[in-house]
Amino acid sequence: MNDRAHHGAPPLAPRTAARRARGLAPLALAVALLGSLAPSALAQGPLLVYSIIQEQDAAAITSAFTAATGIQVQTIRASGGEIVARVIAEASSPRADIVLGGASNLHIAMTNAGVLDAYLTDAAPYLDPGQRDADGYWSGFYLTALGIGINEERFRRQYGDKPLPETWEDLLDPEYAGEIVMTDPIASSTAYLFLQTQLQRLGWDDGWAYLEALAPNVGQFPTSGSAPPRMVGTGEYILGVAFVHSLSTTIEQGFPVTLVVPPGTGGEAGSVSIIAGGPNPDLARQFVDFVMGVDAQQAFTDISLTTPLNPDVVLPAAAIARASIEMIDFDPELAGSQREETLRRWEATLD
Amino acid sequence: MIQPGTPVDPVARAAPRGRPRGGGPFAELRALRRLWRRDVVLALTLTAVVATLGLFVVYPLVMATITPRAEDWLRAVTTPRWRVTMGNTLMMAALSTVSSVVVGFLYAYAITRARIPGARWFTLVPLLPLITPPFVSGLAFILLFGRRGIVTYELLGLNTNIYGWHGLWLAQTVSFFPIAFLAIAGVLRSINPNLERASESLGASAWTTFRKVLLPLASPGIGAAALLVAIAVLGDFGNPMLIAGRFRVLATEAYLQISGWADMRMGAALGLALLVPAVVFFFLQRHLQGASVGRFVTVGGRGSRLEAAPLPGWVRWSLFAFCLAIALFMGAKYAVIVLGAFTPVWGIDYSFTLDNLTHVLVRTGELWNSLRFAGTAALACAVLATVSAFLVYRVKVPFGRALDLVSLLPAAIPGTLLGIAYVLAFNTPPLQLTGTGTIIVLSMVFSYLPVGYRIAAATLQQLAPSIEESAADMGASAMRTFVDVVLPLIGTSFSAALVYCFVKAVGTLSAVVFLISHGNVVASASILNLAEQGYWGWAAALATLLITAALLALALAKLVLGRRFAFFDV
Repeated sequence: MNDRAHHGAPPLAPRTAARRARGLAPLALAVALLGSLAPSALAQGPLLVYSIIQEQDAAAITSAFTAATGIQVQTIRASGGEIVARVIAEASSPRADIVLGGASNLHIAMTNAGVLDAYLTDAAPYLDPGQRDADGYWSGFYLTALGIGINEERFRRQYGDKPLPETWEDLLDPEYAGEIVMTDPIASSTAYLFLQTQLQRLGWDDGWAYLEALAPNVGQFPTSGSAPPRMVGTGEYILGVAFVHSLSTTIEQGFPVTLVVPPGTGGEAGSVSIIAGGPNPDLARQFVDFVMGVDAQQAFTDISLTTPLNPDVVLPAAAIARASIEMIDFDPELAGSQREETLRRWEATLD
Repeated sequence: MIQPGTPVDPVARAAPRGRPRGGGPFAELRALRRLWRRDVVLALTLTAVVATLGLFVVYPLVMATITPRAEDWLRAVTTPRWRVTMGNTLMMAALSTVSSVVVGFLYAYAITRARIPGARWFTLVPLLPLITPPFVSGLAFILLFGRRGIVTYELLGLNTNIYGWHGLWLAQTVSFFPIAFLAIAGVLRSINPNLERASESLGASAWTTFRKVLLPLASPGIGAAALLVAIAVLGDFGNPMLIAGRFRVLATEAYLQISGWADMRMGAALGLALLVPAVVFFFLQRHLQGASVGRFVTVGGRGSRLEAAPLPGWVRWSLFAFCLAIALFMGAKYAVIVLGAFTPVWGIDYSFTLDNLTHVLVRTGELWNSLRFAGTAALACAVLATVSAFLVYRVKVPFGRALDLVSLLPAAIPGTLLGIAYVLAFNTPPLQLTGTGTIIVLSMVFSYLPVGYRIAAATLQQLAPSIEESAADMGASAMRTFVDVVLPLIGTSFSAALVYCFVKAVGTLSAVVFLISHGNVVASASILNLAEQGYWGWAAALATLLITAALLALALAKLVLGRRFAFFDV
């Protein structure tokens, strides 16, 4: 040790040394392989990822990718809208290759802004038409669906032995007046999904009747998507409408929340897309193929407890299977075209 | 060098010296030509300042302005929801400005004049709300005062609802009184107590002295504080997001158009709409204070200062109680955050754990980035603020009024829009800064320049021009006068600008989300990420580490620089 320090080489921490040794072998292999394939690929990397899914979840996918290909990945995480705004703002000189995760409406917004590259991957024959873009601008790999979070502790104290709500209709019970929390649809595209779910599930007129009956029961419409699970967790409100995966995280954190996925819920495909003009276009395509595969989705599902789209993934006990979520046939095109009208009427309903 | 303690000169001056030169653009151009002939160093400094502000304030704003199309502007104006929102925004600007300035003034007065016990410790309290990213302190606030809050529900048994304009009023007062405190404290410190002594020996009561001597002398500071707070309230979106409930303000709407709908054009239109009231406030303050500014000047300095006359005991102790109440309020909030850092489930399970801390200890690189970037930015910000304030308020350079206005604008822009504007402006060669740490530092410098600049300006207005005139008479150039005469006299405001920019930059969030790059992540961005993903314990732990590190850095600066770092001197 002393000897080393004497020669001016800093001693390696044992962990770092081990990691380096482990990382080197596949890296050397990959370099050799890539070198033999295409000279242009040799100079590329690391792959730069903007992640909308949580840091640890993204790390599960990217480290599996690095282990399989030897390609290094660097990730920055921010919320959906911020990532989309950033990708659009950076279009004159893109700073990243991949947008990983986030509901398909975010990827549609980037497609419409012309900042994505189309790539129809062959690796995902299992995707339904609504789960990928027809031209290949984005491809789904997990399911985001709406659910109801219940603070059972407070529920029992307030309502005794009353059965927990199980359907969307149960939320109309006048006893819940002021005790429901859900994100403001005007503030968030994902909360808008809730309005459209009801309108498409029940039809336009009955849908509005439902929403008008529900509005007085809602105590607050916070603007951030993470607020309802948190407010139900800390007992600020008894019931909350939010995405299943964000309610799952709240439960995992130890908050006393019970999750219910009502039949006829709405959802979108959490997707991956390639940023047009990014520094590593070839690696980006390789990455998209990898995300469609069973290895990536297995690693992702094990840690995030989301619902994978690849049917070969073995579900962990706490995750909810795609088959057990009863989804409506959601039409994102219709939802997009009705946005202005729906939000105006929604606002009038609240006043 | 002029000795501190030059005789006090409280004479009412007729000349409007405290204001930048007026006159048409041609007169200004002629003055500019004269300046180049007379003092090249000064002219070069002016050019550098103008170029810097033009490049990093005006140019990004222009890029943001050309983002929305005509139809977006039309929609912004015609949507009824946003007209109501504009009314709400102005109402909050009025309410929160008055309350923040009153609290900030009383707090500053208690510390600098009333000599309350523990004054030095009380100067730390206003720094706390500046360092913490809003999401974490927002949750602490809700845990204390929410529907199931520790204070409101558990302690007082109330079934209150803080969500709404009243909760927002309270939260904004707490968030923004520190700005008022910083702007006013610097001015109060530089007012020589001899004046009050003189007033009292002439037979005036303490109340009359306060009203007729101290208040008029402090008015430039109070005016500057009011302007700054009003503009900061306009651009505030963190507090309304968390506690405004169904009450909406424009900055939040702009933020949500970007973060919720990824609609940058609409977000830019709504965000830029905030510049209209900001510019109106700017001219209003100018108009209201134009008459009094420059009429009263008093030389700073310590030499012949008497102690301030002791206040009546009950006044002193009421002020002490007031400061203590505020300190306890802040203390409770930070106790809740620290509690969150050491418990498994914040707000639910209060058993002790070190898990959160070990989870975030791997992020020391991000903490170091935060301190490094914030430190650089603070130094640059304080220098730029002091130099521009000197040019505008003392040298009275041509186009001073335009400089004055431009240096204020970033405060009114919601950080989200500022961040996007920076990406739009600096994403392509020859000025490709995206992906570097430099762009993060620059965004910090210009986000917090308005406060630093106003603090420096308010203090400069207190100095009698006769000192510099004597320096000039003895042959010193303008820059020489600045370095040898002015700088030593405004050490407090320089330190205040430095400290303000540092703590704000450490907790910076909204703009930096768009500017962090692979390898340049700062801790505040990670705190937001963790909080948003529901990892509240980790977020609280990282916030605790960040606050501790920032306070340690300030303590270290004080230790090394001693009296030259005047912030904690009372």
